[in-house]
Order: sequence, then structure tokens, then C-alpha cells
Amino acid sequence: MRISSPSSAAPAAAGTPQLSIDGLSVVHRTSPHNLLVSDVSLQLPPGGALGIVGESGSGKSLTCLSIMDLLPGALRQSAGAIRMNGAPLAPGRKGIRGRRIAMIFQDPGATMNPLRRIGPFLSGLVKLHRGLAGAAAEAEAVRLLDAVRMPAARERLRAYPHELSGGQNQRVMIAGALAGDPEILLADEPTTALDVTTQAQILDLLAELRAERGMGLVLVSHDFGVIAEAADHVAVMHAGCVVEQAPADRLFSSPQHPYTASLLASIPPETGRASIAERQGRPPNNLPSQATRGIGIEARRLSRTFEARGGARVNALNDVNLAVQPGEMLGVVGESGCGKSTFGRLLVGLDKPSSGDILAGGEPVATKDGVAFRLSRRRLQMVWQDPLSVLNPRLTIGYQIMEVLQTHRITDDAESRMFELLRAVNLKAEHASRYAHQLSGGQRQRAVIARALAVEPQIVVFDEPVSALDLSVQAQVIEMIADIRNRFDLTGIFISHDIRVVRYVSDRIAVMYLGRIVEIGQADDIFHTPKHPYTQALLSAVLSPDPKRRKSRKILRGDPPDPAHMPSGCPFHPRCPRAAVRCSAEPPALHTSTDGRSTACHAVDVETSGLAWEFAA
Amino acid sequence: MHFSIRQSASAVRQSSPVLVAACLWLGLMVFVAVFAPWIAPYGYAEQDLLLRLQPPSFAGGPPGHWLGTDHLGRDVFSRAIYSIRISMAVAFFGALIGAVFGTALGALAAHRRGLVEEIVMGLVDVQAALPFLIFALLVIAFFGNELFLFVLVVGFQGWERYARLARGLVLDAKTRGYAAAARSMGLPLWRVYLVHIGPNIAGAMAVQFTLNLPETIILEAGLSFLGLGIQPPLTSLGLMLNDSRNYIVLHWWLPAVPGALIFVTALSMSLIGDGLRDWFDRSQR
Amino acid sequence: MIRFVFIRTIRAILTALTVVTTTFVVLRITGDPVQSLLPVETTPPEIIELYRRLWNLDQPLWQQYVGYWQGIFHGTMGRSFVDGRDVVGIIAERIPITLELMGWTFVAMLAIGLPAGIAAALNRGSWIDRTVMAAAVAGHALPGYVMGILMIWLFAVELRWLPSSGYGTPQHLIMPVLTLATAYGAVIARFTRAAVLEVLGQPHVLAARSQGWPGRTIMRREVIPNAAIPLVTIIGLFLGGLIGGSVIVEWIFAWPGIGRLLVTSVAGRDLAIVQALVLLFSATMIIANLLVDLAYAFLNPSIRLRG
Repeated sequence: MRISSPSSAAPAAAGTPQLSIDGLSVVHRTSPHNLLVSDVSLQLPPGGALGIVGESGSGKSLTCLSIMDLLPGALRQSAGAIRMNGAPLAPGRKGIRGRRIAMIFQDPGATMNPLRRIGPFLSGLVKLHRGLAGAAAEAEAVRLLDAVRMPAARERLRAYPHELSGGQNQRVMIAGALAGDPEILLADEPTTALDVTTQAQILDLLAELRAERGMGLVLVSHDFGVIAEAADHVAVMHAGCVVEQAPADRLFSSPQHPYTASLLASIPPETGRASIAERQGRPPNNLPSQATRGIGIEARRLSRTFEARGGARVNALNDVNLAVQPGEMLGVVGESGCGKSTFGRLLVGLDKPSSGDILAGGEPVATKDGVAFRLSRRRLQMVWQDPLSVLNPRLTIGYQIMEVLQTHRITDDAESRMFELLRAVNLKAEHASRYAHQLSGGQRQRAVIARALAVEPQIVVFDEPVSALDLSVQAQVIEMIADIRNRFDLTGIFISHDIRVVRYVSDRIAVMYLGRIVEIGQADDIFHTPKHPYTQALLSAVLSPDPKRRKSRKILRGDPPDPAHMPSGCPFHPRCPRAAVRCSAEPPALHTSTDGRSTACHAVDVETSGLAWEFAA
Repeated sequence: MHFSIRQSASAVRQSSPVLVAACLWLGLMVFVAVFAPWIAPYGYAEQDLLLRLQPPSFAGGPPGHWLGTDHLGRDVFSRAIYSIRISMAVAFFGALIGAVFGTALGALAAHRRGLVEEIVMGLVDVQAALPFLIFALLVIAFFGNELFLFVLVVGFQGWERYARLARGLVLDAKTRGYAAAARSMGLPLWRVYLVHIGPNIAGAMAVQFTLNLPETIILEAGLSFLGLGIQPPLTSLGLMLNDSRNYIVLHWWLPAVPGALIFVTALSMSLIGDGLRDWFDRSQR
Repeated sequence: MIRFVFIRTIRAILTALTVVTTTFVVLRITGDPVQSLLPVETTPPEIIELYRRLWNLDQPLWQQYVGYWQGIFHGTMGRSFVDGRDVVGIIAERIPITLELMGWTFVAMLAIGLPAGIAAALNRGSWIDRTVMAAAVAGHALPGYVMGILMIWLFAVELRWLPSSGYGTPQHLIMPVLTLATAYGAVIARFTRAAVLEVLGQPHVLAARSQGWPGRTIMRREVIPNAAIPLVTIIGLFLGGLIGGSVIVEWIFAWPGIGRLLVTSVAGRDLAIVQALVLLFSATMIIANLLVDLAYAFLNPSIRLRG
């Protein structure tokens, strides 16, 4: 239902954009010549979906905040006008905010008042924008929650934000945005803080709401996949300027501006790994001292339990068996809380398993501080997600690498080896004398990798090594990892939440869900013919940077579960589209089929034996 | 973040004139403290009973005592010089004891975890629960107030804050930062602590030290003011203030000199501490 | 919540245990109080023996410890070493006098600090903000004994408006309360400012503005309640400061409360009174901190609703 306020009743003249930004510039109050947003002009056609895409610091969020006149206090709009249906908007946006234009933000948990229950939050907005009070407002709150497909809407009214998951909180924020029945919804990175399967749910919801209500959408994101999925007109921003804008299909198929083209080219492709295959024939680098150095690593019945706050026990890792062959790169993929990082830390001995064994090259891995642990560091290394916190801020990059070389007496000439290592990760000699904060994100991660390589390790765990980096840098670092892996003959474990990235560098992929491996097999097989319903959903949630390939996706129900409340039977069954009675009773074992794929799923087992799952269930 | 002369110099240039004045004042106080015997025209206990309660020379007093004399005819200027020396020394060396002790305990708690950590943090809680002045009075009541013990007691003021800070910083570095990485590189433990963690937390500890100093000065002077700190014939700013209480009506300079010295010195230290903290936070981003 | 309350209560009890045991141990290792009180060479041995029995010093250590606890629970904390009067009686008659001072100070410092801090935060960078911050820094560096003497000089000596010291009339109350309340009010203002600024920077305030709420509603509903949580947690801290501060202020203004009693007892080495006062102050602080913890948990739904 729409209620028409007097101002929105006037129909827009044909061809007038619903929202237009003309020549917008934003500056810092104290340095008015430094333009953070520079002469940006954008139009949102009535009922359209405008995507603004760019890397961090491109000014996309400031543009979005300017529409609502919500710039941070230190900034101000120095030029430009913002019009709605041709009429300029007054400063302060009285009568606009929440009523004609609503907004949702990146971190849904933090955008909600932690002291306020969902019910008063929504009915308050209903009262503010529609004048309904009491029971009528509460009934409307329930309808809003229904409108955003919130399960058990009425019970949610008494919940606090901290009791809901990120995806649920974002639904509540959207419900709040709908309270004023706005004509336009601004969404600033609405899915960035969410897991991929939840992201797919939210994007679907936004698309449905647009269709139902004829609402205009301005979507800001750093992720081309998200933009391609939800926008029909796209503007690319870089350093405060719009470098290119075009209809979505044209922009993605034939980008005109070199910046757009280079960004699109850095997205891991969905077909093949040509660049790495090409390099296989390259002459070996002179760095590694031995000929074949790779050793395998094996996890046997590995479990790790944590004591959570409030005394609950969390099974981060549950009876995992896995063997990585010498020289192999194994990808581990899963959503947050699936235990993949715990698994990585355990493999290199930085954490102690609650039960089970880890054997590297047949020997148990030391976890206790001591001589054995320090010696084991020469074989096992780890590369973390956030290179800035991992590098010592007060020591130069060169010192930190040489320190490692000298501690382990790797070579007599530590300095020249340090420079060789820097070269191996495509850093220059001058970077040796720099401090971490003087390097870019990509350079820092290269330095971390160079330091890890200094001990000439045999096994390296890469834990989300590119997640903190901008897209264009991600691709370079991934390439570099693939490269050094070949040159140094490493056995590697590559952990990421992004299955495209994992597939790009890995020989095999293990998919994890709630502390278990649910499927493992050759990377291409997993990617093209996933068997486990969760793997299928994960792949289906991957957003292609090509609007023509918007798929009919298999969207998972519900939210990623809390490892403190493990479901019975198969941990995936509450969200599984194929779940049957058996799945809630009996956890499936990881069974290996003839083609070398292992899957932990009753349905797959039944179908492998030639029966139809629907009948067997 | 790393310190360099040039950065420090630019930090001073950008800072407010107030901060510069505070630095100059503190510098003067340190100078006075170090060279007190050469600056003071009289000894701190030198009495001249014929020239008692003389006003400062600019207010009509005798020319030799330009800040006047007290009820025993002692030169107020000279006593102030020596008081600064005592107060600065007690505050500085005392605060150093607390800083070293607290930091060491905090780092130990973060290193060992488990029972050691529980005990250390339990002690911290107890100390934080008890107003320090009361604690100091308790110790003085039971053990008397010899100078060495007094410095020790005053110095322990705020040790629990160092312990909390050091524990937090070490734990943070150990669990997810550069120290975890250093350990995973197989570096020996002493190296992880001395080369990696130490220099990184030193800045924060130094800021805490600067913020703690004025409180130590105030505590020292306060205990001496109550007659329970520095004992005559030795002098201190608090003692001078206490002596002056009975002469407030006619001899305003007697409380004014030590009162103003305590206030301006503590204020300078506070300002420098705040400035240092702001600068430190900025450089940490 | 139950678990949280349980843990905090256990902690408080452990702290109390530590404090009581420490005072007991300290009291005994300082040597024989009789010797430090009575001139040993000239006092007849019978008198010394009498004093020993009076203070249970003739019993084995563990019995003394048990007796110490019994005393605490029965409210008999021994007799003053100096005049032999019942310690609890001496303290009890002075508690209301100190409470009068601290109660008014507490009210005054909140009345000064909270509005000043909020005004400073809302007008960040303005003259209000700069004034409040400057006052806060100065208040931190201006000790009560300097402030108190300044007040005496100004109001009692120069202006002759107020009595310089003593107790009894409302006029006597003004200077001690002002001395304490300006210093701590300035610090409260500083904390309040920081807490409000912190909340103002949170995304939920931005979200509320985007939803069209008027500024006053955002202040009342988003900012004040969220800023109150960290403020509640530091009230315990202020109580500690206030106790310390009242000792000094009672001394300057000859206010006959327990703070002044503490100073005279320390000076006279009346250990019976000192240890009883330390236990009293500790108990106050432990209970206050416990209440603050519970209030924090109650205000914070993510703790209140947890098991």
C-alpha cells in the first residue's frame, strides 16, 4: 500500500529523473581545495536501480550520504544540487529522510540502537511517518517484518539487535526503511558485512521489494558482482570522480574507461586458470636450496573446542580427516564461523587441538613453546589476513626478514638473501628500508609472504590472504601466490570465503560447514559439478560480474548457524533444500566415490548407490 | 609508528602555545630540581628569627628575601627551590618504581595466562577498589614514614593502571598481531618480548607515565600537607603549604608560593601527558 | 545475568577476603603495637600484659585471625589504642557527618559535570567545549588542598562571607562541597563529553538521522541511554576519588568526619582505628563497585539477557 504525501502526489514530468545529482563536490572543511567528491552528476530514472561502484576511498559512500545531507561534520558539500523529481531538496532534508528517501547501511548490527527492541524501533518509525500509534503501529510493525520475509515476525518484536544475526538485522533495517513507504531506497554496501549466502538473500529481497513497490534504488558497493546483480544503470567512481557510467549490460560487456576495464579484469574468471597453466613451463628460479622439498600434511580426527563466554562450548572443528599431498595446494572454503581459520592455525601448530593428530611429513606437529616448536617453524608457516597487524610497526621490512634468516641460520649472507626474497614477491630493494605503514596493502601482504618464505618452509597456510585488499590488488597477490607456490615447490593450504579465489589457486577444494568438511574434490569438479547441497548453494550465491548471467539461484533458507548451538544429525539439515527425516537424526559420514570426490551427504550417498533420494527418504 | 627527531619537532610546531609553555615550565622545574643547591641563596632550614614573616621584596619586604620569609624566618624562595627538588625527585623516582612494577606484572600476566593472570588481575582489582590515599595512609600508619618507604609508597600509586595497560597490549600483540607472527616465525622468546613487544608498548607506557606523574606529585604534596609525608627539617611543597595555613590571614605569600608551584607543575605535566597521548593516538591512526 | 551476578559477587567476596586478611597480616607484622605505644623501659610488665590481653595479643596467631573475623561480624573492632574507647562507637558517630559532606558533593558534581559534558560534546570545538575541557584539565591538576586554601583566603579572609572551617551550619558546608565538587565535576564533564562523542560517532545515530527523527528524539533515545552505560561504570571510580578527596578536605576545613579521624589516627598511630577505617572504606568501595557492575549488566541487554 502507498500513502501519498502532498509533495509526492505531484506526478513527475515524463523524462525527469526521480533523483538527480548535478555537479556534486564534497570537501573537508579545513582544506577546501582537496575534493573528496568532485563534480559528480548522476541520475536515477523513475523506479530504476542505480549502482555506484568503486574501491575504498573512491567517494561513493560520501555521494550517497550527500543525498540525505548526512555528511560527517568535518566535511561539507561545496558545490552541486540534488533534486528529486526535478525539485531541489532543502538542507536538512526535512520531510525527505525516512519518508521519501530511506537508507540502509553496511553493518546492520551497528546501525541499530543496542538498547532498543525491534518492536519499539519499528512502531516508532510507523508512528513518526504515518501517525499510527499503539496496537495499530504494532500491527504495522509485524506487517513490515513480514514484508521483509522475516520468519516468526511477531516474536521478533521483543528481540534486541544482539539476539539477531547480521542478515536478520539487515532485514529489520530494511523493514524500518519501508516504514515511511519511501519512493527511493539508498543502500550503502548493504551486504558487505554479510556472508555470501546471506548476501544472496538480501539482494533477492531488495529486488522483490523494488518490483512490488516500484521503489527507486541507489546501491553503493565495492563488489561488481553485487552491482551487476541488482543495478540496471552503473556509475564507476575513482578518486572522487565518476569515470564511467552506462547501462549495466553495456558497462560489463564493453567497459570504455581503462580503470573499469582493469577492475573487471581483476575478478577471478569463472573459466579455467590459463595464466597459471602458462607458467608451468617457466624455468625454475634459483632460490630453493633443495630439489624437491614439499612434504605432505595430514589431519587425523582433528577436533577443537572453545569455551565461549557464558560457559557454552563451541565445537569449532569436529572430527576432521584430511591429507594434503606433497606439492599440492588445497583450498578450504566456507562462511564465517565454519572453522576454516581454526583448522589453518591447527595445521601449522599455532593452536592445540582438543583431540586428534596432525602429521607433517609423517611427524607430529609441535604446538608447545620450546625448541621443537621453534624448529618446526622452518617447515610450517602461515600468512594472515591482515598484514598491517602482523608486521611489527617499529621495525623495517628488511630487518624483520633478516631477523628470521639469522635466527634460523638459513644463510651466511642474510642481506642478499633478503633482497632475493623481496624480488621473489615482486617488491623492490628500496622496500627493505620501509616500515609497514609506509607500504600499500598489497605490498604489505607481499612482505609478509616474503618473510614466511625466508625460512624456506615446506608447508604454508594462507588464511584469507587477500580478503583485506582492494579488488585490483587481490588479483596481483593471488597471481603472486600461485607463482611462488610453483617456484618454491610448496605444499599449501589456501583458506578463503570466496570460492572463486580458492578455485583460482587450488588443486583440490574442501568445503567446510560448521566445523566439518562436507565435500572435497578436484577444484574444477567442485566448481562445475558440486554434489553437496551446501556447495551448490555456495556456488549459486557467487555473483557474476555480468548482468546477463543473473542466474535463477538456489537461495538457502535461514542464517549461518551459531557453532555454539550445533543442530543434531547433519549440521546442514536445517537449511538444506533436500533434507529428510534421516538427516536430522544421523550425521552423514564423508564418503569417497569412484571419481575421487568425497561428500558428506545422505542424499548423495543414496543417489550414488543408484536409487532416487526422494523415494529413499 | 616510529619516533624521529624531525617528527617530534613538527609535533611541537603544530602544538598550541599552551603546550609549549607547559614544556618550558617543566624544563625549568627539572633544571631547578637538578641545580637547587647552586640556585638557592639560603639553606632550606636556615632560620633568621629576627626577620620572621617578611613579605616579598616587591611588596615592601627586605631586599635579600625576594619571596619573603616564613614564621621561622626561613627564606621562602630557597625553600621553594629545595621543595621543587624534593617533590620532583620523589614523584619521578617513585613513579618509575610503580611503572616498572606494574608493567612487569601486567606483562607476566599476559605471558603466563591462567592462574598467574587471575592472581595479578585480582590484585589489580583490589588496588583499584581502594582509594590510593587511604592505602598510603594505611602503610604510613603501620610502617612509619621514613623517606625511602615514603617514596616507595607514593610511587606505587597507579601501578594497577600500568599492569592493566601492559597486560592488554601484550595480550593483543600476542593473540592477533605482530607478536603472534614473530612467535610463529620461530623467534626465541626473549627476542619476541625485547625486540618486538617492548618497543611497541613503550610509547603507550610512557604516555601513561606522563599522565601518572601529576597525580604522584599531588599525592606526595597531599600526604606532606597532612603532616604524614616528608618530615621537617626536610622541606616539600606540601609541607610548606601546611606550615602556611595558620598565617593565611595576613601573609598570603606563604600559601601562594607552594600552592601555585604545585598547581602549575601538575598542570604542565597533565597538558604534556594529554598532548603526548593525542599525538601518540594520531600516529597510531 | 545470573551467571554474571554470581561471578561478580564471588569476585567482590574474594576482594573483601584479601583486604581483611591483608590488614590483619599487616597489623601483626608491624610488630607489637604495645611496644610502639607504651615506653617499654618505663612501663611495668603488668600493664603491658594487661594491654596485650585487652587486644588479644596473647593468643596464637590463628586464634587472633578467627577472633578478628568474629569481631568484624559482631561489630566489635577493639578499642582505640590511644583513649581506649570503643572503635565502632568512635567511627559510628562520625559517619553521618562525612555522609552529609559526600552526599551534597555527589549531587553537586553531577549537577555541574553532566550538563557541562553534554553541552561540550554537542558543541564540539566551540567556546563551550574549550572552556569545559580547560576546566577539566585544570580541575585535574588543582589538588583539593590548594583549592581549599584558595577558597578560605577568598571567601573567609578577603570577602568574609563564610566561616573558614568547622561544622554545624549550612554555611560551613559550602566551601568543602565546592572544593570537592568543582574538581570532580570537571572530571565528570570530561568523561561525559567523551562518552557522548563516542555514541554520536556510532552508525546507529547516523541511521536514526537518516530515518528522519528530530535531533531531540535522537538525543533522548539514542545518545543519552547509550552514553550512560560507560558513565555508570566510572561512578565507582569517582566514589574512590571522593573518599580520598574528603580526607584532605575534612582536614583543611576541620570537618569532624571520618576522614579527619583517619588523619589524626595515622598521625597518632592509633592502629585500631586505622584498620577499622580501612575496612570500612574498602567495604564501601567493594559494595559500590559491585553495584556498579550489576547496574552495568542491567543496563546492557546483551548481558542482562544472557544465561
